Amino acid sequence: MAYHSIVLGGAARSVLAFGFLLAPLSAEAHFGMVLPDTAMVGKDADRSVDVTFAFLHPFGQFGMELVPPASVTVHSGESITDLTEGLVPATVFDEPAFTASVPLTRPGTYTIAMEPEPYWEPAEDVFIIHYTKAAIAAFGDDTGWDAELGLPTEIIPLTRPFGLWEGNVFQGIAKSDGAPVPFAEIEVEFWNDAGVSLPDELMETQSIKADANGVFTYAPPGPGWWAFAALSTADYTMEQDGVDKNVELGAVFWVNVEPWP
Amino acid sequence: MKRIAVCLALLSAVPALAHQLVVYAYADAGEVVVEARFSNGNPAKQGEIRLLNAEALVLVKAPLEDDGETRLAVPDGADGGLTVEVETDAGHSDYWILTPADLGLEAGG
Repeated sequence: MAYHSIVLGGAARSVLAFGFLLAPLSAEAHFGMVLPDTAMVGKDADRSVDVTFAFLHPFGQFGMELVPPASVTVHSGESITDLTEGLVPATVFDEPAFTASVPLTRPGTYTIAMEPEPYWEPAEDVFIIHYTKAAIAAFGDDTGWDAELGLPTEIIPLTRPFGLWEGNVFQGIAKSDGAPVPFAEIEVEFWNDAGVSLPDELMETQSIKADANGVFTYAPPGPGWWAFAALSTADYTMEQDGVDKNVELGAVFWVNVEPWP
Repeated sequence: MKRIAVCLALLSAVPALAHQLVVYAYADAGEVVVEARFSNGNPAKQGEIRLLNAEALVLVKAPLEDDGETRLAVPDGADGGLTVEVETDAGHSDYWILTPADLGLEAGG
């Protein structure tokens, strides 16, 4: 849930608090989600992986509507598979979302990418487009984990994005139109299906910045899925009710961390 | 000079030790096509392929081809599927499972 330190009295406080409970938008970060049900598929497992596509607050476990994405593609080596038309409607945190079964035909890394339709966020007065991806390793082969898909904005991993031990760092390059973004702003959130509690609201979204070469580093403190979003403002606007509005672009990457025994 | 040579030897030994063997196989026109390469993309050049049936009995043994891709006829007794094992001379090993369906055989559906 959201945390707000606005001091109000009596009925106004109650109404405001109730409103925030219904729509905790401003204290949590929005993230596109591409969440596989596993990050590493063994040789004896099924030759497919189920993936959920959503738009939400990962730590707060609060959803927003995801309309049918503009595209969902699976990249492995030179192969690109388009799953856009085969998405199955689903519900995540009471909001529309989608699932897909991604076929795994041979060993290697499969990177699943979603380009959503622009999301109008009235609370922030912007459109949001999060180009979102996750990578899984199939059948004991991690070849291709550092693939660059050529998305309009994208995090390129310098650390393998799956099979990390807790306490390892994750390092990546924030890119926009193929070029590193100096001092890019990166937000990080934990997929809090474990119900971790917060000592302070500021802990929910970790904020880091890239260096002059667009390289950023973060050490996830525990196992699970961690979402990284490199944020920028598009050099174009989109119209809402006849008024031009800014567009927030996000390069979102979901990274999996395993527990150290 | 000797020290440099030792260092170079150590450096050149790293890839073979660090990269894992990855085996993949598929059926094509009555043959099992076995791909064996290291995780850096280099083909595995020297080693042995073993095709095992569903009871883990070895049906076929054959050497790896130099280019990392070896074609073997689907042996008799593969109705329950095959396990394709590859072991290189350097001690790396990996496997791939071909179900009856992968082999295009009726038994496994």
